[in-house]
Order: sequence, then C-alpha cells, then structure tokens
Amino acid sequence: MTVIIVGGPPSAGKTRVIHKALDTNTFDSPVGVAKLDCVEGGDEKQWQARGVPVRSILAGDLCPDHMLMEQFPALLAWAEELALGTIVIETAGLCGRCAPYLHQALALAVLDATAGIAAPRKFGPLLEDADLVVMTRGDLVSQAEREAFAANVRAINPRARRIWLDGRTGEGSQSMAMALREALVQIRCRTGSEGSPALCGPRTPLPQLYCSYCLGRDQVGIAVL
Amino acid sequence: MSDRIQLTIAAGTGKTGSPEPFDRLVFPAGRTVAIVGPTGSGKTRLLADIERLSPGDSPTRRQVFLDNAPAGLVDADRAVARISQSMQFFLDLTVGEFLELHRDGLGIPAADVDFDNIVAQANLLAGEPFYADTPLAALSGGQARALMISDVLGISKAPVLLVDEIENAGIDRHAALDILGGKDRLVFLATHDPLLALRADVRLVLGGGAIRTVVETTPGERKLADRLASADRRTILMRESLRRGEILA
Repeated sequence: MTVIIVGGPPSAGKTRVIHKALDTNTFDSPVGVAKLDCVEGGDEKQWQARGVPVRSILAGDLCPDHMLMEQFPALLAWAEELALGTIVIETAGLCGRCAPYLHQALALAVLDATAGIAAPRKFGPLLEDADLVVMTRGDLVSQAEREAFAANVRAINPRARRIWLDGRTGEGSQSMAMALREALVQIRCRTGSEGSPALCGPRTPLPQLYCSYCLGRDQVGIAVL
Repeated sequence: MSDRIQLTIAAGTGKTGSPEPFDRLVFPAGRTVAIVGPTGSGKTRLLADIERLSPGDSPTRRQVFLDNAPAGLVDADRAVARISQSMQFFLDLTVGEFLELHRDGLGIPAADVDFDNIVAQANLLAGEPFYADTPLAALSGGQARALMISDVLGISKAPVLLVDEIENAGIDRHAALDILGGKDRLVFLATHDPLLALRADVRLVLGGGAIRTVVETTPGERKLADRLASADRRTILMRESLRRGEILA
C-alpha cells in the first residue's frame, strides 16, 4: 500500500489537488482519503459523493501534526481493512515549526501563489521536506510573479519537482501525474516494494513533549529558558 | 533553417465539445499572429494554452508543441513569455529590485543583463519617464506594461511572446510591436484593434472557444494597414497635442 501525505497551509487548495490527482488515475486503487482538521471541516461528503472511502479526524485541542502521528497506526489499520491500494492523508497544515511528513510516505506540499513571492521562505519543513510541490492559483498572479514564487520554492527545496496546477480547470494535472509517478517510484526504491510506513518516523522530529502552554496555561512569561 | 523555433497547435475542441476544423497549425519563427474574435470567444484561453505549451489537459484539450527551442529555453516557463501588467504582489519593490529578483529567479548571470537599457527601452514606449529607483506601486498601467515588455526582451529572452490587448495599455503600440517582432521570435497578439490585426502576418478567428478560421493577411490588407497606420499616427499626434494643452480646432 502506498501512503501519500498532503501538507500545505489552510485553504491552499489541498483538497482540489487530491481530486485532480485522482482524476488522472495515478494512484493504485482503491484509493481512500483521510482528512485531518482542527475544526469541523465537513469535507467528507465530497469524497463520499465520489465513492472514495473517507476517514475524518479532528485534532481538537491537540496539535494536528501530533494527532496524525498518534493516529497513524489506526489509519493504516483502517486502510488495510478496506484493502486500499493507496491512502491519501490530507493534513490540517498549520505551523511553520513542524511538518506531518513521514520518511516512507510520499510528501506532497501544496502552496498558494497568491500568498506572495516571499511566502515559500516561511513554510519551514512543510516545504523543505516535500518530495513534490504543487503550486496553485498561478492564474491570479503575473508570469513574473510565478517565476519569482517558483524560484523561491526552488531555493528552499531544490530536490522537489515543482508543478503549477489550476484546481478549477485541471490545467497542469498531466504534469502533476507524471511527477507523482516519478516520486512514487523513488519512494518505493527507498522503502522496498513492501515498505512498512508504520515503522518509520517523521522527517523532521516533532517536539518531544507537550509544554504547559500546549495544555492550557493562561499566563505568559513564567518559564525563563 | 533547422534551428529556428516552430510552434505547433494540435486541434482541440470548442465550448460545446465540437472539434476545431483543422488537424494542426504550424507557426515558424518570425511571424506575428493575431488572435481575433468577440469577447468570450476564447482568445485568452488560447493564449493560456500556448503559454503552458499545454499537453492537452486544459478545457480545450488543445496540445501545443515547441520545436527547436534554444538550450535552456525548452520549458514552457522559459520559452513563452506573456506580457501582463498585473504585478500586485511585487508592489513593495522598486523597478530595479524587481528586475534583479526576476533575473536571479531565472538564474541569469548579472553580467548578462543591462538594467539601464531595460528601463530606457521601457521609457521609449510609455509616457512620463520612470527610473530604477521608482517604486512599482507608483507606475501607471501603461508604464507597468512597458516595463514588462522591456523586461521580457532584456531578461527572459523568450522566443515566443504572448500579448493580450496591448491597445488598452496606453503605450505606443506601434513601437511595441516593432520591438517585439523579429526574425527569431514568434508573437501572438490577442486584439480587438483592426490596425493591429492587419499588421500581423496571419490571424486566427475565434468563436465559441474554438479556432474557426485561419486567414493570411492579403497584400490589399497590408496596403490598408499602411493607410490605417498613417491615420492612426495623426490621431496620436492629436493626443500628444491635447496632452500639451493645445487647442486643435
């Protein structure tokens, strides 16, 4: 089974990118989708309408990346129970400190070009650790801005292929499909054909502990580090 | 001959799904191609297909190929440049900083780019002069368009240029077409202006999202274009006079 983790800031177009990837039949079927959210997202219906099995996880008070690490074995068990060929995990994608990518899962970052040309320099491991970067809403900025945005993406992550995708028209989906196939081959080379994603950790370590602020402390400046 | 660029459009479909009435259209370097048709007929969509050298995944399913592109300019990103005036996310930069960012983004060595020349050329097309330290936010629409034209010629050096309704840009469109053309370049020009359409070597007539007809400009039309151009120059002279505060009649 192939595991694909889709990261990116909220509303960058992650769900549309996954829809367009499924349209190109790039992934081993059957494909299931797991969606991680901090607040009630309500995305399940569109996957159900497509006949795609979906599992929704709400992080609630926890950091969504921590929540994914905790829930990952359960997600894999769900996928195995349904005999999925591919599970696509759409993350909530929030902070610039961590990224939800695992060593042996394909890491796909989705970035929105209207965030501005300097945005790629601020995403941290979300962009640094990705195998493939899909850039969206390029039609809303000028060609020079697209070039500058893509150059900044390349400066932060020279290893990943960069693809422009228009989530409404599907323009770019063929290039994305080709890049996904290449990236899947590389992941399989790295993990062996039957890699066991459950046994591997995050590409960038998450904080090891919860601090008292994570757990609800309501005063500032108590701990001096 | 063999190393001149050549662009091929393989037929797609119009908005209703009916196929375009040709198999493929081939455009060699050195040509200027006008794209005409009423608003909504698919001109901008055609430019978008060419801009990406679309592999067939756009709504029209057209495929666009470029042959003999110079080394380093093979990807659609580098081979095709679109002249736009929108630069809303660069607005906190000066003209010089923008050019520097664009040059570095494309990985072009500093010695290969002459910023003074780019700014000077842009000023030939636009009205009031601007400088390398002028903020982008202070440029008018016409000045921004002139800068983009000059930027494309001086920095990206793309062999295929796409120009969308340059008549609305408030710049000298004859001068712009003169400097954009050239034997090694291929220019696509979406326009509502008969004079610009007749200045092209060939025009694609669009309707319903499809390329309906391909018309070569006739010798008679070229003569007509010359007459229109001299009338247009008189109009431009009047515009200049009005701008100087003169009374025309």
